[in-house]
Amino acid sequence: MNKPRQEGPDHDQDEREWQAQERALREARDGLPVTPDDARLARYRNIAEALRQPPQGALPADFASQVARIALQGSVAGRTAARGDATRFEQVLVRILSAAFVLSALVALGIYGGRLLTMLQSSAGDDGLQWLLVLAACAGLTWSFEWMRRRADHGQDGPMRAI
Amino acid sequence: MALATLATVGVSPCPMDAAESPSQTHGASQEERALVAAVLAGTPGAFERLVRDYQGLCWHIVLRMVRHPEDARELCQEAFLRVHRCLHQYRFDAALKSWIAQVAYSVAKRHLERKRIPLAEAAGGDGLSLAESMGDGFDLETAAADADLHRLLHAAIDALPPLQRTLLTLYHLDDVPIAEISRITGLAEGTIKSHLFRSRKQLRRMLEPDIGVAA
Repeated sequence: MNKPRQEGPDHDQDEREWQAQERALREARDGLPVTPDDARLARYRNIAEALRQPPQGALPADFASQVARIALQGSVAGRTAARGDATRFEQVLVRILSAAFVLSALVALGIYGGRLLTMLQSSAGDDGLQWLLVLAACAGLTWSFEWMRRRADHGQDGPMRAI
Repeated sequence: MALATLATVGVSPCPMDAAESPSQTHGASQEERALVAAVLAGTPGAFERLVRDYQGLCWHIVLRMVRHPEDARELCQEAFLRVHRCLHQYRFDAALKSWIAQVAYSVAKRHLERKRIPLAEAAGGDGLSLAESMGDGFDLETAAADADLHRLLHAAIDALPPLQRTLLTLYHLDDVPIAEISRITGLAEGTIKSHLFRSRKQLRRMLEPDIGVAA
């Protein structure tokens, strides 16, 4: 198996390095004795030996039977479906409430907007009012970005969950 | 070292897509076909046997990707439940081992993406040295003094990015050929070789007396 790099002055050196890595892997796999006179090979052999050790920890002894039980009962699928239904219901509810809130706010703004603006102008002055509007715009932008980010994240979830 | 193709390619959520790729290697064996048929027919004990046969591979992949044993256990369960749900899509043109490994890799990769953990180190350069990446919890000098080479190496392997750790484990521990790893991860074979080469060289450099700890 050749190292896939084809160009550059280091190609031969990389090829030798790759061959040493592969030889160390083969020798570790076959349990051959370490070559003592090649320091690079010996180091790769150490690495190959370490990599052939399984990671610490393991699945529980009854993992297979547990998973099989869950899969066969279909309880997880059932729970997920139920959770999905509940989530969908909540989402509809939140949308209705949000729409009612926005509508109320618009109506209130139409009725009391002029009076509110006059009050703010008299208490905060023209400059103060401008700063308040800037602050409101910043808050609006922050909220919009967060909303868009959440939407993007939600969109990414879809295809990955397909399996 | 310049790397030609380090960009990580997105993995198909459904193993079927990759199973139809031209770089396929071996199809399913008769034993695998019989096992899949038994699971699909709902034969008692068949799915449990399938899980038992492949849980080691799934554990290696997922644990190497996410590192946290608790998360890894949950993700392994999720992976096998997906296998159970999608087994009817398996077309026998890849080894069952590869198909299941692909599901496990996909589940673990998605978990890392959700947690915004980078899968591989940024392209170009060797990045942080492994000694730096291992953090404060590991004392290189003590390890050298104790001649605890294996502990040092395992800490260094743990300090590699998730993708590199997983590729090394598949190739060295599970003896999965590069073509099969390509199918599992959705990465080009050249990219996988590049990652293997660079990671092992990085580990070797760490053992050099003038840089890390002498072997």
